[in-house]
Amino acid sequence: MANNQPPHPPPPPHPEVLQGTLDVMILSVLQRQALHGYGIAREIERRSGTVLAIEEGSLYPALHRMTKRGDLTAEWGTNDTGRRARFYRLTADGKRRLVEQSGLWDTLSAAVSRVVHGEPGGVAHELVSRARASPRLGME
Amino acid sequence: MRAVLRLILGDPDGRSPREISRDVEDELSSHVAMIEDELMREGLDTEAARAEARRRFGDPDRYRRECRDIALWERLMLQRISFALMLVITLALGLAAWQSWASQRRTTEAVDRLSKQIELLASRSAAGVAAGSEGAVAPAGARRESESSVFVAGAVPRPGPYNVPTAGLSLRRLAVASGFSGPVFEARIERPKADGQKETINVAAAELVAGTDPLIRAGDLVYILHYFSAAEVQPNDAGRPEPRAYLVYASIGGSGREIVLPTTGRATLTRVLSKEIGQLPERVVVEIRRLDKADRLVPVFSATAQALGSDPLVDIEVQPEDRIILLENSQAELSCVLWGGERPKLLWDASSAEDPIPTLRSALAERGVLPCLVEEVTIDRLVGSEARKVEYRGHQLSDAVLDEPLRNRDFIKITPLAADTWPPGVSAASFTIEAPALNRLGQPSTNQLVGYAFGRLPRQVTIREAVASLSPRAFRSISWRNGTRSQLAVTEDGEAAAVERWFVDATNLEDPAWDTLITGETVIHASSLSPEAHAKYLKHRLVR
Repeated sequence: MANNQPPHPPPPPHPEVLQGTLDVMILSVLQRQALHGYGIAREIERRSGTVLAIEEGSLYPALHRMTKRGDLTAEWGTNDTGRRARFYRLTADGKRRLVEQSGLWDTLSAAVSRVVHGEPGGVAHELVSRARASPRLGME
Repeated sequence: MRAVLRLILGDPDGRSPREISRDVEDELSSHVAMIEDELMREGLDTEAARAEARRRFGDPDRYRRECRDIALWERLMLQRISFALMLVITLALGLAAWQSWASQRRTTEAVDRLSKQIELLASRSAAGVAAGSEGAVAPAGARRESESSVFVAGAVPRPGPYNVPTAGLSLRRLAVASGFSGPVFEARIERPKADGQKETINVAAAELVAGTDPLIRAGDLVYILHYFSAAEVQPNDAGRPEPRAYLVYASIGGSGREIVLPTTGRATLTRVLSKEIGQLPERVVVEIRRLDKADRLVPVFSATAQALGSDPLVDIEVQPEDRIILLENSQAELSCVLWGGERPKLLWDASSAEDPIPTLRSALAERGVLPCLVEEVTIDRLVGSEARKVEYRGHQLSDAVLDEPLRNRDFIKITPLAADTWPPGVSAASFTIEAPALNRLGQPSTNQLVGYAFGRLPRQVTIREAVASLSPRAFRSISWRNGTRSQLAVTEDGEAAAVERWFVDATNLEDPAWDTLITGETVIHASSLSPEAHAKYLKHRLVR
């Protein structure tokens, strides 16, 4: 029997997707397969463990902009249920951009983490940490 | 043009705007439908699934618009730039067309005007208009034997063709024949040459005044460029002194000089300053002082350089003997100006507080004139706005007069005794003087005056008279020497001795050495008091 309540409880207030991170998430999701907008939204949700939920319509300006830029190509096709949908695929430029953006994101997220948790940062700290972890130097 | 812009902006999407809109619409609708499908599979009814799908998707209109704008951005930019370029080109073409039309219209009007003038001149010629008082010249309509025609144009009442004798006619007579009545004019003559070219002869007003009057020949075209009224012309006759005025700089550099005023045209202050100095700083104040009937220097004009340069009504005609005074600003002190038929000289740089305050004594020393050689001293002084003239004859120059501080804006004129009144055989003398004085701050200031040389002295002059141009009380001692000859004098320790250099105690006016006669090549040296003693003396003198 159909009911009028959604099967899941309303999601908790999700953190807003940081400006600029949507592109790298889209590129990452499309790294292995071509997907339509709906599929991309589901994959982001799945990979984030439902922590990140975006307003799904906001995917489309980003997808169109990236297509215009040459990071993606798009072509019409049909999904599993036979609905007509536009599938997006990563181009060679898109793959290069994914590598760049991923690196930037790693640096940024690590820095934000250090700021939030009050950890010392910087190259010197990282080198000391690595040295301590190295058995050849005999440091604890 | 669009092809060029496409190259610049990139190739736009190949789809039409309608196709783009349809694709965007299909894509967004498909997404919403897939959410609904999913929700219904999970048990929601159609309405609830639709509402939830809308909530998860967000505002479809907004995303539709954004997607469409992204797809059509280049196309929109292309349209806007094309429109702007077309507008600019249209305006430029319109402007060019308007200018062409206006130019053509002006040309047509000018041609019409010239045609009318030519017709008018031709009708006057045919009517045989009288040619003025110069009977030798007649308008071209009345041609006689041995005559040919020239054409006169320009600033004359009756321009047009004129007959002149084949032998030629002076320019002045031709000008008078064409109605010109002024004393001096400037002209240009265009004369055809054998090779078909034209020779241009410019005749300046000064040449006409000096009597150069070129001969006009048949075929010449004579332009009377402009002329001067009789009041504007002062013929530069031989023997007549050139009109001169004097520039006096206050604190803007230099001390002054004599300037020769033009003899033709109006010597307005603006013209004179422009010729003599060029551009003046705007804050400079220009004053003119002029000799009135009582021979006093009266202020007649004052204006800033800014007003002088910007307002044509603020100007004045410079007259001979005017003093044009340039002051740094309206508050500036001119100090006093030393006159005497030579270069004007400032005795006191008002901009420098360290300069000693001038007295009549220092004015005489500056001119190198002994008080005993003065015939007359004249001081033009402003008391408030009233001009006064103070005169001293030579015998009136007492110590009190000589030590009186001069006043700001005094004009001092020194007239020495004329050389031909000096008795023959009087020897020469020269001085080297260190003459301390008091400056405006009340501090002693050394004023070294060097080398007063006189070809002759009017009579036998004593040391007392010779140093009267100084203030003897200001000096500790005065020494002098006369070549290598010995002479009795009083030394510093009060003993008379035959030495080559003699001293007199400057503070002891009863010392008979003061009355020693000076002879040829006498050199006098005045050594100053200590600064403290000198300052005390000068303050005492000023208070007195």
